[in-house]
Amino acid sequence: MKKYIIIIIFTLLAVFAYSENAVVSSFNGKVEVKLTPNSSWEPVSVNMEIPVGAVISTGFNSSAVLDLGTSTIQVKALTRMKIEELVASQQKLSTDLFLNFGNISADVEPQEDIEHNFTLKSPISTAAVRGTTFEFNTITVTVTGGTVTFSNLLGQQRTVNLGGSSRTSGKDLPADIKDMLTESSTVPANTSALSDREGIILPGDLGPGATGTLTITWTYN
Amino acid sequence: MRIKNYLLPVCLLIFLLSSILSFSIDFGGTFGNISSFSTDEDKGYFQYNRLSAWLEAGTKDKFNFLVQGSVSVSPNSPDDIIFLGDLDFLLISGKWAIEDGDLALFGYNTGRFGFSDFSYSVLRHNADGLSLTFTYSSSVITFGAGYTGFILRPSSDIIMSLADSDDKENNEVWFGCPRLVGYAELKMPDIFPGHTFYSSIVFQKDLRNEDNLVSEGEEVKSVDNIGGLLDSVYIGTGFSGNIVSTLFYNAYGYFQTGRTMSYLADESSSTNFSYQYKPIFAFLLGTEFNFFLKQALYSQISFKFLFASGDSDYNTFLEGNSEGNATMFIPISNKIVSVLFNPYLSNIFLFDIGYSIKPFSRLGNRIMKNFSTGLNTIVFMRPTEGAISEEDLNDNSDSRYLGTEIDSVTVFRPFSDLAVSLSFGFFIPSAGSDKAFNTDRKFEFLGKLYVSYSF
Repeated sequence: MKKYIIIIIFTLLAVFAYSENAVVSSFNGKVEVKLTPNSSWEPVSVNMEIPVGAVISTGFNSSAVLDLGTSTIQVKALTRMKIEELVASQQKLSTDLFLNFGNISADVEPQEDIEHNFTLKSPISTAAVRGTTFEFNTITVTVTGGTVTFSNLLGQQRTVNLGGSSRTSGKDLPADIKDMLTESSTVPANTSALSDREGIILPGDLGPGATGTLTITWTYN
Repeated sequence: MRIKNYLLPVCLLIFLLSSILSFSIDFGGTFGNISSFSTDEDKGYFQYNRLSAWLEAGTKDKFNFLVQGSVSVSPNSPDDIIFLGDLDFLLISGKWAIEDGDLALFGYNTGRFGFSDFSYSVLRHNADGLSLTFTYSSSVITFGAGYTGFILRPSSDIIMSLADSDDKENNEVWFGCPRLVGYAELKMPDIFPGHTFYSSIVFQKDLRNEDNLVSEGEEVKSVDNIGGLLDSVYIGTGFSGNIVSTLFYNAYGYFQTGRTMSYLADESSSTNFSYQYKPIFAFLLGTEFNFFLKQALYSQISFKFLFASGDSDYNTFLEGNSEGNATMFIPISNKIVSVLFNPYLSNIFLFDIGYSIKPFSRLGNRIMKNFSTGLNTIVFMRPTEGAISEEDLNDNSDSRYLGTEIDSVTVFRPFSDLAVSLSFGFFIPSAGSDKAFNTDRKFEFLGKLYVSYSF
């Protein structure tokens, strides 16, 4: 009797929590997939199902769009990404992707009454989202909709909102979003390769906002 | 045997060892040129050229060595220093990953490097010392201590006492002021989503020989304008983060305590005055808002407010307390807030509104996109009628408004290793018989041309 109860429980779990496949919506150029660790690379086709554990790879000037049900992933050129988990139940969705290298853009739709844990990892960082649009290239995340929690290998995190971006080398604290925006909005006058090193004050560096060290002074009388 | 016979084998050995031990070597340098001209008779026309060279070696994790030296040449420098060679920094640093417990990373810096607080408003200066950093998943804790007495005088910007000021003007003095500086800082990124918390304690201890200074209890005012020691401690806290979308804020405050030599009324003195050490109770407040509009040619709108407490009893900026406790905020190093008028953040409050843009950023031209220009308007005032660090104050006026400055800064960086910066500052002082400055202070214009090339 106990054996039948266990079988029923697992059957119910299978009904309410099942593994999904990603589907190739479109592609261009050279896009290949390795369905299992022991299989060889094969070219993708439209509507092809990509199971959990598969690795997708794009070549030069190539891209692919994957439909993961409630989220869409654009895999850009020279990218390799593995689908680690795609599990759906009545009240929870779990999507786990691993980006070996390259660049992807993701659009994750928020779901009412369903908890969706979407996690995108790289060798040095993790981006966790719930209903957002963002780009990620293993080092830098740029958010174009919603909010992303961006973490480094030490578990230190930054919350990145709409319009912001952050980056990390793995063990460095994810960059402050305001510093990233300042970097893109200003042009530094000091060309030294050491100008942005922590703990380094360059000679003649007069602090934030300053641009030089010496003055041409006119006193008008 | 000649040295050159060993040169190739040595180079091959270094290359092999570097490959085996993951030991990397890198080097480079920067050349900077500034030309200036002034109608001020004391300044005139002069050239300033600086050549810096750096070398970096190490394993990039547990051991890293970085050194930079520089040589500057200024043929007609106003302070008579024509040629100066200096060690800019010498840094040995490393990081260890910790796998047990909550501590994730341990890092160290030692040598000559930059010490600063989180706001840059209290301390930002090189010193010779050590810092240790303990990184946890939710916080970063840093301790540091250093000595400033080995920094060459022209490279030292710490002026907190009369003795510091006297040495700064004395060409026979080789080194900057001898002070022990230190700090302990706690940083908690994302303490609330999108917000960072800072807390720090900064201190500096004056290590001058007291035998050369005024002693407590002396009754006759020093004719050589010599003062005493000045020690201080700063306790600060701050928050920064994202308000909405691309609108950011930064707010912080510091409380300063310590001691400063004061020449005060003393009934027991034969002169009715005497030198006494009085405690310092002062504060600094700062806030900043930045709004970014990337879609509008990378526009940025900024608003800044800084308030440094003053003391109406200060008759001079340095050690000028003449009654009661000292309430004028005195930072360890000066923070540059504008192109031209840069008083110490002591008895000052200012409002700064700025706008910057990269007008060619959407042209698609790789060279022209690195062109930015901006405009700032800064209004300077003082909280009390006491002294500030600038000269020409009107002793007969208690006016708080000091003047307004308008700055324009343009930077063009066509290549990553070449940049040109042109800055202009127009300062309109509040000068007159009943104004903050006396009538000698006129409208001032300042221009800076800076060229930087790296190799």
